Formats: sequence, structure tokens, C-alpha cells
Amino acid sequence: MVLSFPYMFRAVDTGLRAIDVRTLTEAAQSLGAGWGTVLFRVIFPNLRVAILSGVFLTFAIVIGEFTFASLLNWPAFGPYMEYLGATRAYEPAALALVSFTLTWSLTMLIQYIGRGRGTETQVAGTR
Amino acid sequence: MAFLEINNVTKSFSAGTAAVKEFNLHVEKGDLVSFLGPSGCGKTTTLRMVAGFEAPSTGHVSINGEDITDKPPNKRNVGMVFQAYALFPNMTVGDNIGFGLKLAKKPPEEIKQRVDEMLKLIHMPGLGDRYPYQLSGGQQQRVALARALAIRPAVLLLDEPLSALDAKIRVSLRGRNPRHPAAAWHHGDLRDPRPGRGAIHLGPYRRDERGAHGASGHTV
Repeated sequence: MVLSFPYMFRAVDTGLRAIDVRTLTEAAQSLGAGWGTVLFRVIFPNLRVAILSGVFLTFAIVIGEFTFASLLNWPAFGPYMEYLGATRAYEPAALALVSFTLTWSLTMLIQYIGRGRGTETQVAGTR
Repeated sequence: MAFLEINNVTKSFSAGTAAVKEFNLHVEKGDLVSFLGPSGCGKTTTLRMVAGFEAPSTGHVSINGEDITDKPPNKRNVGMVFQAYALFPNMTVGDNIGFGLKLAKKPPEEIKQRVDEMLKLIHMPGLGDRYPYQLSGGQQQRVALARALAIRPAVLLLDEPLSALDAKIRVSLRGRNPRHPAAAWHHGDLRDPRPGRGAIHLGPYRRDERGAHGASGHTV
């Protein structure tokens, strides 16, 4: 939480700055939308890419995190990798491959969900 | 009693200057009113108070005899076209136009029919599947207009509504105006052609000015 919060915050904050939240909210309100509709039908869909990039950063940090994870007194990936590296001869290599595959496939999954016209969003003005 | 009444409305922002001062306006159903004036004289602020995005510091706004001064914007049935269009980037043109109808829980066939009708009105039939970023500025502005008209608002407010449209479309849209009960335009080209109706000139407000001038209007 502590470590990932700034990453998530920055990503969402950038996304919020990229769209004109106020005018979009007002436009939706004048068409009869309450705050829930504004949030879920207008703001969140336009923040999709920002939220996903926050998710990706957070995920990368969490999977690679050791210090906090080892203090948690709870099985976690980082400490397990370290333990295996210290006690076994060949398994750590396999585990390293597994962790690469896991990270990459999840990255690709996030990219896939966030694909499309995200970069071309335009809120106002002429092109 | 007029259809849209703005009674004694004053709006002052925190800086202490009044953006709109003791403004009165009575608009009858079907009337078309334009606000003219230099920038900063309170045109947009007045429109935003009718739409409900700003609360007047004093005074009342009423539509059809009902005081709407404290009503939230989503309950007012006031359509507004924004200066910056504010189309929803995540929705297609058709979804943008149908958004208000969908929120009003209209049946899908009716929404589709109304959206098609609106697309025809703005000379963009068949473009309902495009996204706003695929449109030119003028097309975006027309979609914003269609979106506001689709819900059949009691009052239609247009903040610099046709700035990006070419003259031909302006004229063809102007012919449509009388269908809508009361509209406040914000552009010189759109003055109601009927004699004796039309523009309201808002004077620039100066702090040292005496009397209740500010942005004062006259019923036309």
C-alpha cells in the first residue's frame, strides 16, 4: 500500500488532468445524470488507460517487493524466491523463468485490456 | 408570467466583483434570445445559472412558473451546448446523442429513432458509429447540439454554439429554432429574425459604475 500508493496516485492524477472533468460532468448533469452515473459512465471509462497503467506499476512493484513482504510473516513471492535461491541449486532458475513469464503475461493482459483508442482521446477544441 | 424568468439575479464571485448584477429577464415560450456583449460581461455566467451550474448569490430563476433556483442541474430539463462541446470521448456519436434519453429510461427503439432523427438534423446521417476524436471541430459542435436537443429540453442554452459551423449549416439550423420553447443564444448571427425580438446587450460591468447596471438586460 505505502509503496504503491504514489504510483497509482500519479497515474490517476495524470489521467484526470488529461480530461476536462468539470465540463464533462456538467454536460452529463445537464442531460439528467446523477453523480453515480457521472462517475461510472463518464469519468471512469475515460480514465481506463490511466487506471490500468497505475495497476501495472503497482503490480510490478508488489511482485518484486522483498523488504515489506518478508516482514509480513505471511507467505509471499519475494521471500519465497530468496529462500529458494539460498537453499536449492537448480530450482531458482526455474522460478526466475516462472516469475518472468508471470510478469510478462500479466503485463500483456493489462495492455490487451487497455488497447484501442486510448491515446487519441480528445475532449474539446478543434483538431 | 413568462416561461423563463430570471428575477433580480446577482452573482458575485469571491473576488468581490459582481459578474452579473440585478439581472432581470422574462422569456416567453418559443422566444429566441441572444446575449451580446464584450467578454467578461456575464453572458456565460447567466447561462450557467439557468442551467444550474452556478447558484445565484441573490435572486430567483423559474421555468414555467416553477422556482428552480435550488434545483440540481440534472433535474431541470435544461439543455446546454458548451463552448468546448464536451462530448463524451468514450462514447460513439450515437451514444452521445442518446445518453440523455437512455438516462430517462426510454425504450431502445425510441432512442434509436430519435438519434437517427437528430443525426439527420445535423447533416451527419450514418456517422453515428464514429467516435468524437474522428470528427472535425464543426462536426463535434453539431453533435453537441444534437445531444442537447435530443432530450427535448424545456430551455435550450447555447454558449457560443455555432462558432465552428459554416454559414450554410448555420442557416439551416436556424430554421429549426422556433420548435424549441425558449433558447438563449450567444452569438450575433442567430438573432431571432422576427422584428422586435432578439438580442440583449449586456454592458461591461465596472466596479465604480453607479446604479444597478452591471449586466442589465431588458425584456424584448
